[in-house]
Amino acid sequence: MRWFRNLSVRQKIAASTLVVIVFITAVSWLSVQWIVFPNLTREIKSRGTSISQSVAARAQRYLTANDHPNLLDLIFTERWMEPNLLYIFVLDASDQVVAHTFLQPFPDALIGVNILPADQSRHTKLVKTSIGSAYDTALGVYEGIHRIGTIRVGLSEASIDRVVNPLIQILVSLLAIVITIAVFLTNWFSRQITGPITQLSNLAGDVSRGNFGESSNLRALVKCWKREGWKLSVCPAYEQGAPPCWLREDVPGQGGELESPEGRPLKCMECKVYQTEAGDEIAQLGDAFCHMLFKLDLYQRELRQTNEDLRKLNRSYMEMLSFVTHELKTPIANSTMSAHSLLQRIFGPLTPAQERMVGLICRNLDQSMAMIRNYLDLSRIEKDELGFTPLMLRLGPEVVEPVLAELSTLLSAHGMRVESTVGDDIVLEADSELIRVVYRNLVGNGCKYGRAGGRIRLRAIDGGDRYRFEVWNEGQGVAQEQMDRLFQKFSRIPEAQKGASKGTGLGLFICRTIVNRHGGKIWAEGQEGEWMNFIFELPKSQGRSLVS
Amino acid sequence: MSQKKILIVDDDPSFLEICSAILIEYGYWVDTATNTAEGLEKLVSRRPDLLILDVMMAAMDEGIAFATSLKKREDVRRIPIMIVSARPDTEKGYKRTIDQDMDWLAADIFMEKPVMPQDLLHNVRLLLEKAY
Repeated sequence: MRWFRNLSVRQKIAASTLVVIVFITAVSWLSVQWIVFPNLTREIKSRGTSISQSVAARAQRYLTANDHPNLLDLIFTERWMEPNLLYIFVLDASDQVVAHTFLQPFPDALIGVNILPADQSRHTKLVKTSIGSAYDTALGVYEGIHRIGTIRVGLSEASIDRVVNPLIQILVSLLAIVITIAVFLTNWFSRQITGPITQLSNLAGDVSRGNFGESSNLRALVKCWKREGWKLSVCPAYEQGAPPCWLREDVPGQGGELESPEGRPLKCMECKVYQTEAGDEIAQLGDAFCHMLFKLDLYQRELRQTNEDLRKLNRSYMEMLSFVTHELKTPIANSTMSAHSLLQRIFGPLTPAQERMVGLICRNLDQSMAMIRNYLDLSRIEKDELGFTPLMLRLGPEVVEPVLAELSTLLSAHGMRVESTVGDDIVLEADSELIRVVYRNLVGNGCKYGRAGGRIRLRAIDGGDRYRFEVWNEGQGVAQEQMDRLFQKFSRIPEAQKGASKGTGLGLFICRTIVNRHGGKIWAEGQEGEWMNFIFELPKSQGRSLVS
Repeated sequence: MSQKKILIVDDDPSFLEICSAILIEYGYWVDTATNTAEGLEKLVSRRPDLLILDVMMAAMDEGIAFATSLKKREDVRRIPIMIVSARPDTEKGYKRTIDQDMDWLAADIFMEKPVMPQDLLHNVRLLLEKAY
């Protein structure tokens, strides 16, 4: 029944109605076939019998008297008076033909096809003769209890057809007319029913494309109260200066209460504004749809305004974040430089306690620096000011080695061993500064959240038109169901935090933004309690000609 | 070998102080200037062997503009320049990338703050060796 489900409502209505009409027609036809025609045929056949009886009554004395000329005259007269008779013939007691109406030699075979049994006085059978098919009625002629002969009357079968055929023709014509009218009527009715539904459907399409107020379908569909002029004066709230329900988000609806400016509650019990127009269910549906549409339009406009406000707010927040972090960066950068110069004993040796303290200062300043970098990157991303200048670069010496040098203090503080197989031969078109940010974050994470004294492994795998890069570390890892959350803004996984220094929750979000900007993708794999692997793929080329 | 002279131009007095202290500790003669006008004056009068220059001072890319103008002057053209900036090069508001500028600022080095002391010394030695 899939084909039926795929039909339109109009086709379904038309098809259902037609099926009912055809069914009624078929039942009528069968009842004519099974009841009317057999009765008609029986009636005609009984006429053959009554002719036979009439002939038999008069033929008896001619048969008794062996008066064959008069007998012949009798049957010829009957034959010519009734054009539906094919033949009449008379048999004597020994079944010899004594008179017949055949103009050609008598077909002897006809005698034997309908022999009247001794215990019956009448018998009818359909026989075929040289002059056509006939209902042959055999009727005994008696003198007392002795049968002295048999009258055989052949009623032409074609005579029955001559009566029945015009009847069939009339019946078929009538049925054809009825079906044709039914098809037109069904079509018209289904159009009346489905027309508004189709218009509603078109209108819904307009709405889905964001066309709320100016739809031509809307105008054609119903006399919408928005266009006909609202019955505003009947709204008690509107009349008294309170915001009416169509301008509020908390719609009280029928029976709800609105508060007037004077603080007096206003009942909406008899709301006339939302009164549904008279009409059938579809017209009411259209009317309700119009009301819904107006509300949606209102909400959409409010939503746009709110979005715009939020965007402005977010932008000013990002600008402030950017400004504050810039301002913080200068003193922290200076402090980092001073602390590291102390730690490197540029200004003389330190006692073990001094060295431990200065080391602590350095680590905290490095961490603050990393956070500042993340906040600056975030504000660049949010303000859509993330510069993107892809150039051909050798990943090993230009990205991985500088990042590892930069993070050497952090790595050695955690006792991390770094195994890198990313060499000179990895050449791709990318923004070196941004890819450095990715490596800085991933290696930094491996250091912060990995097992102290463990391994961090960096690999690059050539995958044809792209490279696959891996930053793997031993450590606690993250539960599988939390992997996707890792890359969300400000996401911090509780398990990953245990014993680790706090981050901004931005690093992986920034990594994902940068990798996506390069047309690549990034994801994480891991075995909880054992290892964690961050994998990102970058195309070798950014799709421009590299020849120049 | 005579003592090498280094001029640092930056509007941040703290950076000038830390940077000078480190370089003096390694035996360099260090002079400082807090703006490009003063920097140019000292550059012409004292002829340092190396210029360490901040990018963002009064104007957004004042340092870069200053470096470009120096390369056009015959008297100071050969002095190597090390640029230090608080912003990564992707965000410095400058149309060209440092990589592209390296073509014509051949001896220069770009460093992002915070500058690690060992990196500073490494690059200073590199530029002084290259220059002579």
